Amino acid sequence: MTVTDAETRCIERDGSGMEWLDISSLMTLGTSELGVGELLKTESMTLYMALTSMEVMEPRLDMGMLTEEDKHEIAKWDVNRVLSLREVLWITQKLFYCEITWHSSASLLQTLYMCNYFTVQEIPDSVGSGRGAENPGRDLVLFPMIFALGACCLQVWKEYLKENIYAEEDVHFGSQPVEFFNQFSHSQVIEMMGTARGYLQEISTADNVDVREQEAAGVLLEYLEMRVLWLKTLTFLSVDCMIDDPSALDQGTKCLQELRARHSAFQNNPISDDLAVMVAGCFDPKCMRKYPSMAPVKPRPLLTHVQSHQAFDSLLNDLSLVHPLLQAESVESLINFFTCFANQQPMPFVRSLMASIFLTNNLVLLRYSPLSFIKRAIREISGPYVWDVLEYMEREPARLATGNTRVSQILVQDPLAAVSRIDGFCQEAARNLMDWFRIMCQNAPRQRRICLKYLTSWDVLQGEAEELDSWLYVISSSADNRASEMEAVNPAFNPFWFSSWAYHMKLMMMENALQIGVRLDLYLDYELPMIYGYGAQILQSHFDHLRRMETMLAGKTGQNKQLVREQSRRVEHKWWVGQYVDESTCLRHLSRWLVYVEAQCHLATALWLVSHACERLRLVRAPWARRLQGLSGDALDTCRQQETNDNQAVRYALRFRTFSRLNSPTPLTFGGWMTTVGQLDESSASELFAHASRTLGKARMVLDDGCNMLGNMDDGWRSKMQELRYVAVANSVALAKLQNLSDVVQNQALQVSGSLALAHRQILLGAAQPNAGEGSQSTSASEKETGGCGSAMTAAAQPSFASASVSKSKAKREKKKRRAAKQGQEQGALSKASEWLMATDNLGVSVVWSCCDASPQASNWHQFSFVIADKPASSS
Amino acid sequence: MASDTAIEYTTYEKETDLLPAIKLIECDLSEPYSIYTYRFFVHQWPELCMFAQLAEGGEQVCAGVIICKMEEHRRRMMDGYFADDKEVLMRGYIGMVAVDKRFRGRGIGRRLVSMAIERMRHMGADEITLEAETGNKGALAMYEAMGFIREKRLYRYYISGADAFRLKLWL
Repeated sequence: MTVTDAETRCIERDGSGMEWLDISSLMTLGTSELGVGELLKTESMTLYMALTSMEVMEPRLDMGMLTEEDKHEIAKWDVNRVLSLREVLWITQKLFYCEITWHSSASLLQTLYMCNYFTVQEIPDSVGSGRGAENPGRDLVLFPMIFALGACCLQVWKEYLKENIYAEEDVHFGSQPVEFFNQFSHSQVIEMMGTARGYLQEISTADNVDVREQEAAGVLLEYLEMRVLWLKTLTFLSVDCMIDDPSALDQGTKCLQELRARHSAFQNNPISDDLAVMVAGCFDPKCMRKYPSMAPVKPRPLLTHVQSHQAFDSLLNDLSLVHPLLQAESVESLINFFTCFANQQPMPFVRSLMASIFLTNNLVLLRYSPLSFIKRAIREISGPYVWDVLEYMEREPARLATGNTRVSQILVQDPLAAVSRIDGFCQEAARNLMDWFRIMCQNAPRQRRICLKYLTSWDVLQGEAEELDSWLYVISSSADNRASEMEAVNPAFNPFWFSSWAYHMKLMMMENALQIGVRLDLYLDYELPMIYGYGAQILQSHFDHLRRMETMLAGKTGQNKQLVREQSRRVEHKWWVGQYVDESTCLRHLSRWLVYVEAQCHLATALWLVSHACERLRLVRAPWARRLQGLSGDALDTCRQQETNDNQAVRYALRFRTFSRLNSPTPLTFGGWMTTVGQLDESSASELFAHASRTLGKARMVLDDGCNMLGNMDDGWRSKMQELRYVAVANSVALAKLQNLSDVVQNQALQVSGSLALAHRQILLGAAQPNAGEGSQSTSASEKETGGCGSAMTAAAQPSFASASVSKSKAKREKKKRRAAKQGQEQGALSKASEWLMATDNLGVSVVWSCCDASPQASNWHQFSFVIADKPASSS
Repeated sequence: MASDTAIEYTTYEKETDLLPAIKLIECDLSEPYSIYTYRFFVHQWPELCMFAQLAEGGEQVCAGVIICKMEEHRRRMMDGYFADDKEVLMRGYIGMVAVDKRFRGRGIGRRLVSMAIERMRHMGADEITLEAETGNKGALAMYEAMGFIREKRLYRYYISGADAFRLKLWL
């Protein structure tokens, strides 16, 4: 197709010299060959492209299209409107709601950019001049407040530019407002705010001013003071400022404290609702038409007055963590700090700032090199022994090479090469550790995803560390008793200092990934026995590992004294990362971990037992099993399909697929899991509850001892243990309540063993089936599930509903008799199974699994927990 | 209201089939999709776009719709479930499901999803995924009753700012 002469004649020139060609006829001609709805697309077109495409002149998708309603709204806006202070207050308040809603992860297009004053092309000369103006509310108060707000936002935006926070947080800025806000420097903004302060003070004390205007001036003064303090806080606590100015942290902390006090007082003095007066047309919900945007943005509700101030309070509270973060004096306390921080889920700005403070310009906490930090991290857990050897190698390479050493047991051909190899490993380990800290600053869903993703690299790191440990063991063994390679890979001899640390970190991440899953509501009730069971398994591995490390470390205590220069112990290094860590300190670090992991292991075990018992009592049911009663048609089919062993295995494989590919700990296979579960089959539900209760008691006891053991070596562990203890107590109370409910105590379902309960369930499932063949399959699945337990019962009661043909011969009558007898048996079994079903229905309670309901510190702590609902269950 | 037996399940054939379905989907959506989104699905995988139709007042009404796709998906992680040498999985994806409010509670959504799963299974799908809003308890209950599990949570997945669960079914 070509452009015809006629079309060429349609070329028009607009005022700017641009040439326009009307191609309507060409378009019509071209599309006439297409079918209705036919889509022309490149092969590379993706769903995302389709989703972000727009239909021109479709008002819901075409952001630039103006409807009559839009035109009416736009007409309400007048930039030259003379504003009263009550109107300025309304705009100021709404801007504050917009700002805090933005901080809470809303797009700027849905919040601040809605304000039409942001797109004013020419700022009146009277703004910032301090001279009397025709529109003082706008020029002396509102504009300075807007520029101060812009300065605050730019500080926040500078932090976001470090890209610690991902696009999903929706904090994008854009160039146009940056230009708008950059018209004035910080000092000019502060000066303008000073002028505004003077004007507002004058109004609030003048005699001839309306009382409500004076009230508005008073409130605006409060907003102004808070804005100035907020700007100072953001400036001083920015990473750039703290790097340049050593006093910035203290100044920022002081401003923050003052702001918190002022804001708290502000919150306690409510403002009357009718004081602020609305300004029509000032906020444009369709502001996106003014900005480039990939997809239409739907206006979202702003936080209310109360919500905004609560959120701001929370933001200030989170920012107060900057000071303790920079004051931390051990890697262990930092790990604790970031774990708790991650659980709190602060706003994206604070998470980004924490990530920047942790690592910027290849400096940890603005001071330390990642290499020295990682060495300290490993040293705090694995002890000083290997480091003393390494430092000796580095200090006395010549002596080592000639064998002329004070320490005869060390045989190293090339000590500097050994040190270099260790450094190489540490560089790699540092990358992993830095990543871990930065993961903790992500939102919870991303934390879990990245944790799972990075587990593989920790697994690889652990493997490299094992090789290093084996090599190190051989080269540092005594000359006359050189260690064999067999010995070097034997954990009974080789302490595996480096790999022990890597394994400890990996296990911690595995536990974390499981726990975040609970917090994110990823697991359904019926999966909980599996999750708690696997969790208990990992925690047990962790506990065993820590115990081994403790034994190794205790066994090595004092063995390397002659390697260390006495002064190196005494020298006070400038920074804590370089200071010596002795055995007793490491042992105390390990003891704290041991207590914590053991308590968690007890807790997970107890909840595994409870959830398993609840599942057996049908207080916890798989979605399809909830439909067990009155099954028919599709529902029955679904239930039958889902109850099979194969499907359980698939779900198990999907849930734990990351763990199953790790070299350690030994993955718990589905078969292994079923065997483990099978061990519970001979116990009744009441026995399981009693066992869980004792296990929760053990958790409390371990934590009590742990808190006593801490002494003054806290580092945040005390509150962590106390919170865990609270969860254990809350779960004990919930369990006692369940055990003591009269309906439950007298309920026969509690006395039924697991094998029998499973058999009953399979009988009922089979009885509901329309043909015998499928019933048999289901029963055999039950046998597999229980590892053979209860198979006699199941086999005897195997339902057979094949239609009995009518026979006239004796043989057939005999057969009929036998079949009748068998059916009698089946009916008996069915009747017992029905009684069991009815008993479980009559329990009259419901169990709610929750990661936070049981704990008052729900906002900053998550753990496995459950509550017993007060009201009888209405399900089934 | 028409009886259950009157529900007829059909597959996409032409553009006009799509229009009533779009209306139905847009009733439930917080954001409109452009027409290209629908066409992206139905032109490439017409067999995975199905409708539930029933007669009402002498006219055929679209009571429910499901729109899916199926593509290759490169595996990032060996899971021990599929063979390790299988580098690419066929991943089915349920993009949109909607049932007219007037006809809910009659198993139309469940039936459409079941049919889509079966079709994808026959087309060689290894797994099926979809996203559902964390607050959409009804949809979650339906998918979970069919064996889907919550694989991950997607932070602020929707334009409204709501989170989503990614649900997955391994076949």
